[in-house]
Amino acid sequence: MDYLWGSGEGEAKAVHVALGKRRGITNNTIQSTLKRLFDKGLLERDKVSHAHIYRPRLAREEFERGALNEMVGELMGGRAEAMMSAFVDLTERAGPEHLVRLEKLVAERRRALDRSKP
Amino acid sequence: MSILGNLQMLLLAAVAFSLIASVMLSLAVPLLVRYTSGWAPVSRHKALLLLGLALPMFTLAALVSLLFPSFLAYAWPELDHCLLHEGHAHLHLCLVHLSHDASSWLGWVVIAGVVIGLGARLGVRLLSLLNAPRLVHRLLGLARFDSHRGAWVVPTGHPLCVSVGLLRPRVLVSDGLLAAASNDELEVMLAHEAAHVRRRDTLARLFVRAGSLLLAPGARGLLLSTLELSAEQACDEAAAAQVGDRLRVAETILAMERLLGGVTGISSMVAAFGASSISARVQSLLLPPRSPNTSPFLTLLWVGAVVSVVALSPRLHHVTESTLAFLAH
Repeated sequence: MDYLWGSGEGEAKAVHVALGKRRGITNNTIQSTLKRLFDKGLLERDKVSHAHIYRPRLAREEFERGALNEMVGELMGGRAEAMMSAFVDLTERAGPEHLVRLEKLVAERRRALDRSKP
Repeated sequence: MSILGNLQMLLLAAVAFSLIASVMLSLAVPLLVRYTSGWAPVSRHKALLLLGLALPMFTLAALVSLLFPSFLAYAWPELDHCLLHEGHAHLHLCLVHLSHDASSWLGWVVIAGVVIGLGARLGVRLLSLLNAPRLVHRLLGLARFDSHRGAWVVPTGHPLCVSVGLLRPRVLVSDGLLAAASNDELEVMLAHEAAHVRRRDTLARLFVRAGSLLLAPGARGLLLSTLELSAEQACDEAAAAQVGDRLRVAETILAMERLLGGVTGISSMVAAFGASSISARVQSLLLPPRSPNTSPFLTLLWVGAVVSVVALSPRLHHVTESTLAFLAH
């Protein structure tokens, strides 16, 4: 994705030359990775002669925003509950009436406290 | 001698001791939860933490008690405990004079049943535990560190203030929260989360979850929810001490609750059951602070001493051997 965001588009052979040779990844692996990203909807492609030219479907910022919102959604849904403590529980809500009753209680106490101050 | 027979007896003893501890602790949980309800949150959290770890501690103590005479006999052969068993057929597990009894298929079935049952319960939790660090790592990769606030800021509109991580917990806040909350509220929230980080609450919770797996489901649920509440209350107290205003902490909890209720759209999920834990937290903050019962060091020392004395007492050794004899017959 990094390569394609930088170059705009490219075929498997070009990605292999840029990344694969340096990292010791075969052209077949690059091809199947690009195919998987295409299947996931992250890339689009056109067939030119015998080769597929791939390009990102989303800009990097758009992709990161979507991924971040997905992760925050997972976090708020309790997916990382095992290793997280939230200021208030993210998956449980007090009912509105209950909340109003508590707010009144705290407000009364605040007024009483303010009155008792010299 | 039969290595498998001795191994089986040891494993069966561990299973039996765990089950005995499970029954006793499942009965003790509601009593201790009620007994500690008036304690300072810090002390209550420690007491519940110890209760949550009591099952493996008890099992270990019983096994140590069972095997302790063997260890002694290795060091000082003249203290060979087996001599006391001569003249009466009291079954015992000795590492010096290993038993010649062969293992039985029924024993292995019992052990396999317990291992499979425990593995299935652990497996599901382990999967979620393996996913969590990946999610947190990816999230931190997209966050920036705000040295002024001492927190990682996630560029999202959702109002988020959490501490994440087990060994190196970190505080995460979102741009959405920074925009929606006042400076006073942010100060309270960050102080609360910093307290979670200092106390390693996520790690403590993980240990208790693992250590209490064999408790009765009702007792375990009560233990975990009360432990969670006492940790939140302890962090509320820490935040109140830092900002110097208990009511401000209560007001911030309610403001955040209202903010989340408006955003997540899951506001009525718990309303049918009454209140979430915020009610207990807010009401606790309306009361004057309670002083902790004892220092953590003294508590640990006291528990360690009791466990050691019980584990090494001849009476417990006799009980463990009797349990073994009962199992074998």
